[in-house]
Amino acid sequence: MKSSQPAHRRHGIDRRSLIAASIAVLAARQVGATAAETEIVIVDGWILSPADVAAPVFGSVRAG
Amino acid sequence: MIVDLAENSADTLPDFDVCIAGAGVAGITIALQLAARGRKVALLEAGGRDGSAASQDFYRGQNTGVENLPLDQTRLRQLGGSSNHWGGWCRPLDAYDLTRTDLNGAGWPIGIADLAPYGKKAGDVLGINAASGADLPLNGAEGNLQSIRMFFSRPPAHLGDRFYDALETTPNLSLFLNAAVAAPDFDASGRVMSLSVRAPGGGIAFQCRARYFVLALGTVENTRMLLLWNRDNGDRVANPQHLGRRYMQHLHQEIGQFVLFDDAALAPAASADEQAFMASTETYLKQAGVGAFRLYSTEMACAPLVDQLSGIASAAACSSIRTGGRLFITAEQAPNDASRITLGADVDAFGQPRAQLDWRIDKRDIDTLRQSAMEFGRYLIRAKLGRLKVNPAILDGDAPLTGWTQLPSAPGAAGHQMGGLRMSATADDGVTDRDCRLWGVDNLYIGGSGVFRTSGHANPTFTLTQLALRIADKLHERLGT
Repeated sequence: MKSSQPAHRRHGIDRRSLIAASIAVLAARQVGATAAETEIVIVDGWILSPADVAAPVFGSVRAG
Repeated sequence: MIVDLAENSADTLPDFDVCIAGAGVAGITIALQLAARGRKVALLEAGGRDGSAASQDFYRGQNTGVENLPLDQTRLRQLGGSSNHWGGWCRPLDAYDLTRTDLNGAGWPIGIADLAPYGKKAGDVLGINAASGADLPLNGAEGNLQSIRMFFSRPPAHLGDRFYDALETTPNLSLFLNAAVAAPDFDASGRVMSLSVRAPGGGIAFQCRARYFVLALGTVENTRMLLLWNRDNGDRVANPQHLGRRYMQHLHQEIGQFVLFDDAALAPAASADEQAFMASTETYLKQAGVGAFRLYSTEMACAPLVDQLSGIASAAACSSIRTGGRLFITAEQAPNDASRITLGADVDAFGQPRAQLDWRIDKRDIDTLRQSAMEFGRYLIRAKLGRLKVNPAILDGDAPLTGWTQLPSAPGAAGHQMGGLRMSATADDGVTDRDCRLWGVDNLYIGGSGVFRTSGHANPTFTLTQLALRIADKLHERLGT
């Protein structure tokens, strides 16, 4: 049975950080940033790889 | 010969070949070079052998722009000039610093080949005796960052002390202490015939007559002097359109903090002098169009950083962190006409207007800081070294920056005073020509970093010493046999 909770809630992820990460990527694309710039994700000032934040969202590292 | 006007009056003086105002790095370098070749040189120093509150008071001025250190703290009015608080860090400009046109509309009218022949001798003058790092590519930096070699004078050479005996004993050289240059006399063709020189009490002590003259008072004071001479001579001395404009300092910031993984080859150093430096490459600057920058770091406890990072990143990203570091930058400003030196309303003890500095930081400069942080952050990811947290003001592009004067090395960066007297290929685009000679005054030269068109990230003392040696060659050539 599929959970009705959003993925980030199920995995205990702070939603504000997810939003910030998404906005950073979108903003980078909108201002014509180079491909190299969109390879990174900025969360609370940290320059991270998408894998750094994707893992807890879609994996099980921080679940439960 | 040394004559201190605070203690003695000048006897009848001969006509000199060259009269140099200002006994700092540039002035001492030019004077010794020319005297060693048999030229009769007068070297005028407004201060004494040592500093004093009364002398230093002449350097008070007003900062009207962004946060900056007081003008009487960033420069010294005494024999040796501001070398008396020099940090001793040296690096030549890169070739691209002189040729790039995207920052200032036109490159320098000289190239690296004009400076390179003076590199060895400049190192000797400045007492360079140590180096760190190497100019090498960095794995994982994709050609955007490189490791660089820095050179050091340890302990930093104070040129007044270093060359005091030579200044006293070199034949043909007359050093006048407490001898402040006042005003020039021009002949009908616009050449300078003499400079009037004030004694400490303010009265004119003597006229210094020479065939050639050099102003080597430092960027701010050179500009102030020419603004005063323009004021008194109908704006005919220095190009009034450009005089004092495009003043630059190096941007000096802590731009973030970073963590390093266990197996990272990179390591922050315990002190800034002991570590590797990295810098933007020509390839990157051509693509990004930002100012050149140099990065270095100091070690810090990583626990607070790990706490922050573990709240937002995967455990895998946080599990192998070994250490933390603070990331610092020395960055080039894009020349900005609004960033300028003018005459203020207050006057000094001689009744002359003090300098007023309106230093600006514009969006291009903030972009340089932001892009440098992004590039270092990408480098840490690509090279699997660690992760960077960027300071909010840098990331958000807030300008002007604040708080930088609290950094321990802020006085050094604030002493990197450049521009205002930029050299140019044509008279309508600058204040001095490619030989550092004032456009329109055939026998008046400018020593110091005021002639810089751009700054690169290199500390300016080495380059201004190369230029001083080059001025000495030009003058020797013009004086003939």
